[in-house]
Amino acid sequence: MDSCIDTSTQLRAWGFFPRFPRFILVAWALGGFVVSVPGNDAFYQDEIVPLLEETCYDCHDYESKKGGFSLDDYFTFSEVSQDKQQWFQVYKNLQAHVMPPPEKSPPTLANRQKILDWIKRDVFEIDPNNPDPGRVTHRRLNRVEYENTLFDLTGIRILSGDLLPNDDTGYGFDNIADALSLSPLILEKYIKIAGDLISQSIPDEPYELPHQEIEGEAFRDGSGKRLNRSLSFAESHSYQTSFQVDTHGPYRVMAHLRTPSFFNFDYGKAVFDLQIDGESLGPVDLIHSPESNRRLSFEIPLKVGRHELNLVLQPNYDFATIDSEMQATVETVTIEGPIGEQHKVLKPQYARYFPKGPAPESPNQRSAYIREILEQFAYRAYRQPPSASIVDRLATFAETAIESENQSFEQGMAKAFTAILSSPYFLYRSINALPSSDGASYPLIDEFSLASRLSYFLWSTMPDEPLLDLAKRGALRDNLDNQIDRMLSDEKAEALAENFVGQWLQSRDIPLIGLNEREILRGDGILDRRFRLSGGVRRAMKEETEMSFQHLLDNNLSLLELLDADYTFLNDELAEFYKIEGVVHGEMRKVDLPENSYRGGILTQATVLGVTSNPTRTSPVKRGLFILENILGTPAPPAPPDVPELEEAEKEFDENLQPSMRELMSVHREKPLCRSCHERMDPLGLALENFNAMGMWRDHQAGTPIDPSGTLITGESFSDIRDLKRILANERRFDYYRVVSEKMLTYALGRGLEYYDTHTVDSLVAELERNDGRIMTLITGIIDSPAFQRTRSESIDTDNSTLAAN
Amino acid sequence: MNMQRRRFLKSLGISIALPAYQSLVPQGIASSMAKQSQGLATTASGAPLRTAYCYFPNGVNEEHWWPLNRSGKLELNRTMKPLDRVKTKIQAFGGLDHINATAGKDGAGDHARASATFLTGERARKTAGKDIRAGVSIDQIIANEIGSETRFPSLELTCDTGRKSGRCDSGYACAYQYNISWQSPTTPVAPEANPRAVFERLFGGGPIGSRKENFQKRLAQQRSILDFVMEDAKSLRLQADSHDTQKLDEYLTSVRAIEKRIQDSENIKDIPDPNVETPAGIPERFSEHMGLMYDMMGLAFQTDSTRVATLQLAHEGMNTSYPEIGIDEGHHYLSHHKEDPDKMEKIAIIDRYYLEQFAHFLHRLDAMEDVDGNSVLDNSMIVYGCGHCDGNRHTHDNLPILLAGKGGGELQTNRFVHHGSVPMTNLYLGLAEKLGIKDLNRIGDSTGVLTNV
Repeated sequence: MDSCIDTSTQLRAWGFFPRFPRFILVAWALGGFVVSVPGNDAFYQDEIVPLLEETCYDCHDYESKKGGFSLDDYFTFSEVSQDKQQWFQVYKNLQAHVMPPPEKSPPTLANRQKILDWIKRDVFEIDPNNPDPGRVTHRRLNRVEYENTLFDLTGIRILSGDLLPNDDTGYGFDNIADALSLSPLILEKYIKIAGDLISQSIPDEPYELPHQEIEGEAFRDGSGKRLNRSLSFAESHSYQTSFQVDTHGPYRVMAHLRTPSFFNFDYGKAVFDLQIDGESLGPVDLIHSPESNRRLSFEIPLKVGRHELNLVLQPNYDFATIDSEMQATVETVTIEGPIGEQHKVLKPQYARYFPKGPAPESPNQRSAYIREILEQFAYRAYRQPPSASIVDRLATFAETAIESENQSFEQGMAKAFTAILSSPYFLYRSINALPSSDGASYPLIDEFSLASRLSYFLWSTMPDEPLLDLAKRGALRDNLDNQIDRMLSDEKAEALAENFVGQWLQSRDIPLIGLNEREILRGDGILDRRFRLSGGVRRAMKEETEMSFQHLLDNNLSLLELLDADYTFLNDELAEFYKIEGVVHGEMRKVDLPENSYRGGILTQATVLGVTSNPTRTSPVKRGLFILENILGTPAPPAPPDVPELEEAEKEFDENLQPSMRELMSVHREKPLCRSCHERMDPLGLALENFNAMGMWRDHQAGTPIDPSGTLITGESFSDIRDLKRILANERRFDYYRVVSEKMLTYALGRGLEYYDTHTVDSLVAELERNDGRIMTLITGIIDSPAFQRTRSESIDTDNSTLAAN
Repeated sequence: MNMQRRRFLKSLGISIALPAYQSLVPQGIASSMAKQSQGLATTASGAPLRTAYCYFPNGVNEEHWWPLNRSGKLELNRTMKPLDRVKTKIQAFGGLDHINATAGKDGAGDHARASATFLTGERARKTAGKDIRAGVSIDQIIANEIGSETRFPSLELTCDTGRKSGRCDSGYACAYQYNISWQSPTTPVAPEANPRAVFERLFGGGPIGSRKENFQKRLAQQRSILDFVMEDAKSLRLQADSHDTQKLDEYLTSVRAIEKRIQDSENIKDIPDPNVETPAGIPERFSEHMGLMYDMMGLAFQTDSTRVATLQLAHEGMNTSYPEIGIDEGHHYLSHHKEDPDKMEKIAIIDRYYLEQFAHFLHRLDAMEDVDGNSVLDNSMIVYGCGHCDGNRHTHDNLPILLAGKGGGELQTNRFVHHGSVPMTNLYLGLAEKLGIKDLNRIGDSTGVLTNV
């Protein structure tokens, strides 16, 4: 640690306080008469003021008032407790060892802890048994949530990125209630999207013939291999499957194939034949065509029972002399029937809106049906039961359209559905207290609010039927663990990796980030033109990070494996980027890394390495800052307004001498203004210099061997990234647990964390430590926390932090 | 130039080349425009008077930006050379400041402040998400006053298509960096990036000939839905406690704004159907995108669909490169050039690249004949500028500002004026006065009306 001790601090510690009598006098005067117990002024004066004196007063007296903070503004404890926001900053800086700065002598660990405990207990007044859960304002669905929720409701996926403006983010996430605003333009768009979507998704015709669709992959060859590839015209193929028929009658068998539509005519030909129970439906000649999609249709009577379906493709050209690249892909085979009006059934997409089919003829029955449909739809869309008056208004709205505007039943209902999807009940999520909790200052939230909180946290979409059913019965809290397990094993839970990890580690940005491959490779002397940041490679990079997280989730592994792991997720293309041999599969898969590999863990993944780089070169500062903010959770001291940049340092070198990044930065750091931050950031960023801006490994930079070794400001030394990963996952794991807990809690709640959340975060960290960092500990810990389960009662209106922020 | 834009411009060009080029503006509306509005946002000759604010990021290379003649007749320096053809219809200003964009007590975060302050003149509250607060921007102030004159009170456009994940500038919420228009001190107006969406909103979807009907249909749809959801919003607001109403108020305000717009546009019977193809979407090349967004603004002005618009060409601090002009490094990275001549040169190239797009826009406006026989450019007041002067040192005084258009004859042109050191917002007050908005006492940090414009 820092050996340089400021002499004035020492003097003061010995009891010489000539300059600032006010602060001391009060401490002495009050301390003399009152017994000091936690929570009162005497305790502050007797126990805390001397510690602050020793640790902070050198810079934070009324004269120096560094950072605008002077302890002289806090003569009495009541002044302290009225300024919780300021003391939240003190708490954060002390806890992260940002304060006192390295050149000052630090307090003993025990004294630091004593101040922290005092702030938490006395200043924040947190009751560990009943902490303030805070309050989240009405939160507009963000683009992702809106798209997913509409998909769940209508079965149609819109491309919200093309239709809606970007959401504003706060605290690093795009689901923060305070930051999500609404303007007339966005509301106009909501109305238009809802109208278009509803009119497109209600079928014109309510009924259709029953059909079963058989995917190409359902077919197998004689050896049991799936049909999961294109079939070359140059070979014979035979695949089988079977299907069930429950009603005797005439059927239609429709095959959907795709063949290539090359610009030049291809002379390859083949015969395609479908056979049912050994009987051909009639062979079809396939020849080259500019139209890629082929739809073939046959009619055949079928009896009740199971039927064999064979698919045969045979060459029909002289493949010895003709060079052909023709092939066929089997998309689907559909069995439709029995044919006949009397066999028709309600279309599932129609039934989604009108579960009992078209409107009954009788006006009374129709009115009842309209109410029933609208109540059901509004219940799901609003994620809670709509009030009777809302249902009344909706029904009147639809009936007016049908009766006075002469619209069809479906059109009239479409108007009402559009209104539902434009309503603030749909567009905003609100948190409601349990009605039975009168009088409690921090009541539980009702189960519909809880269901939505859960589903938007884990799925980025609305609660499904089981969640809403449980909430309706008031049984969700009792079945929470089962539901969390169920939700996390649903594929909708991939949203957590995509949106939470995607923003925490910024892996969501890699597909579009502007990196200049040519310049990066040239800078590293790589002449191989194979390495291109194609869409495919970028996708693989993004998936590597997401799958690393998903792997923890699927197996309840330790969050520390995100930092240091002996495996990663690769396909052949990404493995080539990483120079890892032996990966031949095209799809992303878990790959065990060679012993002593530098890879493994998010810091060595191209996502993190890429998003922290400039377009043409790495940025150790950005990388260092990224680790500070996202792995260690250090509140970064902001850059001073006029930062002398690297280029200025460059001037100090002989112009023929090309300095390495490390040399450049060490010159820049000699300036005292820069040193305090850079001692934190640089060792972290420079440890990653072995990875270029695209995440590729390099030993040299600008002709000099890269020296990744360094020492953290907390004292741990490392020789390269492998050491650093181990240090982060061991000695610094508490910092990491804290930052992941804070980030995930922020995301789950949709608000920034406040002083009253410190206890919740501390508990999450302690639980993680007790459970070896297992990810489910964190997820269930967040869901079980008062911040997630409860809300602040409406009668409590003193949000100290809001006042202080003004 | 990509196909989409070429086709778009081609169709635009054809209309312009025709002698009766007012075909772009349906006859009925062209004649009704002149008599419709007397007073607010109207020139002496009775034509609409338009205002626009165009923002580019990261400051300029001053050596090449500032006109060669430090006062008097405008002598274009290298960066402004593309403006040569319309030189007599523009003026350049020095000495305009945004003191509220400086660090003050707020420390780092110059990029967030530069854009949040640009049209508001207010000091943005430093917060990462909670209690966001800037100020009402000048374009929205104007729209509130004159918005009823046209089918749309204002247009907010951007060429920013993506957002970076994670935090934005030094503890400031991202809202400050990605929006320049603020309808209330706490609510930014999200700008539109997709030219197709802008076009369809202005004129209706579908091919030429069918748009008017589609536009009317959409209004009818909006009208009926709005009536309904207004009730929902009120009932939800009743349930909410008093601290929680801000977000619902945003909703209610939006409902009322759209309703008002629908009512206002009912007075305007003819919906223009420009004789151009609907743009396909966001083009890949950045210059094409800028060009299309300028085109949308031009079309909106030409058809008198709105008289006030903002265009954020890119967000403050943007660090992407410009491959189409051979700039491989990120713009923000280059802007911190520390006097490195190579980097400074690249900044000059970037500055000029932005100005070339602006110049094309002005050329097109100047080729559009307005109802009074002058050009649309003659009847416009278009501010082009940045909230940084020197991006390297993050200075917010002596901002690089251009004012294009003759303001219906009210503005002096073909000159460079150094105003000494006055708030940028004084210029906004001055322009508001030209629009007939007289009772604005103050905008942000303004100290008076800038009269020498």
